[in-house]
Amino acid sequence: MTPLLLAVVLAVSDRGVLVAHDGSIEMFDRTATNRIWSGEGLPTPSRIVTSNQQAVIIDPLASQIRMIDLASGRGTTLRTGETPIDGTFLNGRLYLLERDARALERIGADGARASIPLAADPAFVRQAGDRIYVYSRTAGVIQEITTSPFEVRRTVAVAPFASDLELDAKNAYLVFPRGGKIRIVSLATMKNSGSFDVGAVPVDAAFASRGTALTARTLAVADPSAKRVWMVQGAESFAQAFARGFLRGLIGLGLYGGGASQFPTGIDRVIVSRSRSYAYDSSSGTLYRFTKSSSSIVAKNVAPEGFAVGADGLYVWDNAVRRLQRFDSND
Amino acid sequence: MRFSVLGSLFLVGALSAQTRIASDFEIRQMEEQIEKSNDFFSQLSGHLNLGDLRMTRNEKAIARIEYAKALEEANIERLNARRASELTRYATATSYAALAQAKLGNATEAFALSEEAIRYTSDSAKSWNLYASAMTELGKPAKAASAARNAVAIASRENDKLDLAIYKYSVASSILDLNQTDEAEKLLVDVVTSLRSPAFKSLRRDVERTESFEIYSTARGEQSAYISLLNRSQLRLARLYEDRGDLMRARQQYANVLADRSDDPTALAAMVRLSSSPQERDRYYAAAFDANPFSLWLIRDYQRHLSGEQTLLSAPDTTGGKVRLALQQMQRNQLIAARQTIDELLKKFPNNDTLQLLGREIDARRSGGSDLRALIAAFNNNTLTAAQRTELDQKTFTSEVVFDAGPPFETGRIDDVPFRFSEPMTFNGAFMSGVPLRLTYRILGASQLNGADALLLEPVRLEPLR
Repeated sequence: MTPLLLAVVLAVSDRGVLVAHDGSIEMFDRTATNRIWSGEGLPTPSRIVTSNQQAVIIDPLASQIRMIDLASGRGTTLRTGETPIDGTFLNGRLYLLERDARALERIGADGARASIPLAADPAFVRQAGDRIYVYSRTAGVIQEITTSPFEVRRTVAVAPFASDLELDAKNAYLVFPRGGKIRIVSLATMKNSGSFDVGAVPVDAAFASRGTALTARTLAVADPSAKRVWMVQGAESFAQAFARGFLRGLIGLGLYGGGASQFPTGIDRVIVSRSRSYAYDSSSGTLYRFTKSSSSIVAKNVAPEGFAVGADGLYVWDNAVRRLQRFDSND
Repeated sequence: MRFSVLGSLFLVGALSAQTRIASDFEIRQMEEQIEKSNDFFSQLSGHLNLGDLRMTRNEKAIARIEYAKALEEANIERLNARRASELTRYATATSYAALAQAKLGNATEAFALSEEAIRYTSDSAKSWNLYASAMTELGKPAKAASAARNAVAIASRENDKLDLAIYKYSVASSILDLNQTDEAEKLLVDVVTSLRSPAFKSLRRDVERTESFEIYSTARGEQSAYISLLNRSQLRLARLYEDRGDLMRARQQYANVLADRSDDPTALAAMVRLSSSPQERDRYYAAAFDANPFSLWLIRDYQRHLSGEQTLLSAPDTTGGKVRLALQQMQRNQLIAARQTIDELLKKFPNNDTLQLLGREIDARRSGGSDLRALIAAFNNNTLTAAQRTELDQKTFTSEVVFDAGPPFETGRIDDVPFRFSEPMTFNGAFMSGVPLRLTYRILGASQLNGADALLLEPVRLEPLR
């Protein structure tokens, strides 16, 4: 079976590593050797979202979630609006994005539920401070949502059909495969603050460095067409540069020189955690680690959500032996 | 080239020659396409359509083989496209892999592949429509409706009326499954009106000129997409009207379908339901069975409709006629004859699930129900041991019987089991046919009576019922 079709999902929480697969969920310690508890899961999990105390397994196909108490593994399964795909915890409440219901649902610790409608095809939900931001792909808008009151506060039209949304405290970055662009929206003003070209078909992005007052924030951008991760950086922060009406020093840099591919296959996901960088090819299920000068295969036949990066290393579910493995540990 | 997926309504028909099953022509066309063209879309659409066509005929095993071949083609294309860094091509192939998985009933795989495809082509109305088709196959109408709405939203910004009509039809189909009939009706009326409008005049002229009529769920080219979409939209609209009791409008839509294609099996079956006289119903039954002899709905409906008084079809020369004959024989309890009719059809359609089901039903009736039927089955299947036969030869039985005619008496029934003697018999006493009598007898073996299984008995004594 192609790894793309394996329904296994990993997440690193404060209490250990969660693995959801085959209708069950297990919690392992950070060495990946000891199972702390196991419990009932969902049939086709595709994502796990965690807070300090809770986790939620999301099953978009069945339109169900399972709220899990991280300490005990006990949980409750809830029916949701159509196709829940992602969520975020904020102040003890879960905010669940229900794509085909076109809604953001709030589920309290006491089970109280409320929902607000969103624009067409809401595809990404992110959190910055006490606000939630949802990008709707077909509508091409970002909606800013406040939690108290629970409502859409502001909406900005960007462009439709982005394939990823990343947020920092100041800006939203949207990746557009068609046209090879990243567009930036200022969260303060909820206005478009610029765009730049990157790669041939950029699909996924991750922050590679935070940036300081003196150095720029860097984005790592996965480009499966070029088989590269592009490192995109500016001498100043994007918002500052665009606010001043010029784009200075924004350089799309593919690692390695010339036209050589950085990876043997087309990677379409990029993950950066502290000093470690990983790229993933969902068509072959190959997971790579990479630096500025080299890339190497970490594991093959990995499901798209079958790995997670935490402070203590990279965790990968090996479906052949049905075991959690840890790589790149600090030990 | 246009390549449109209309979702599997499993409504396929063909030329107006009534002696041929409606899907015969399309099956031949697709087999030829697969044989002659090697490109990905020819192979893919050929296998998907063949699968759907086989499904309409209840040939599920063959259909699954075709879907598996389509999946294999799509997977090869995915890998090749990815290696070549052609991501749109990769996403398209992934969408079709998802559709094939959905048709094979693999929900998890179909969903994962649909999601993968849409990561790269969320700007493609066609990708969303394929997503919707896969979700419809999986029985997920809310997901299908959302995806189809995305397709409509994208196509609305473009200037392709046929594509837009296809996606509106997808929305309508999905929301009909969610019982949102008002919006579905508006959409379907919109689609049909649009297709019949001057905007499609030139395309209609091409259809007429080329005498095109084939209907496919995965349509290639504008003509094929147009014909298939018009057919299915009208059928959906007609069914919607029929379900809410607006029979006049329903008849009109079905008639429109039949005007374009006189052997559409779905429309003909619907006309059976809407018939206003027994003669009209019989006429539509005959046409509907000829168009698709293997429709279980049609068969069950016909079985409910049948009565003993109906004249038995004599030597029908179409497959539909032979299936009707088998059903009539079953209704008359002529189970041996019915089995023979079905066996004859199975020689021509060995993988047909409907025929196999009817065969099993006949066998069950022949062997079930009473000890006497089980005994007949044992004789027929030669499963009695020598010891059992000897024991049976020595035993006499007594039952309440009714003779069919006489005296002299030759045939009759024990409960609902027919029996016969080896020759007409006369008994001492005044006995009449048609009234219950008490017969003591030996069982000699199994026989036939008017095409039905019967017991061959040797009478010992006949008495009035006490």
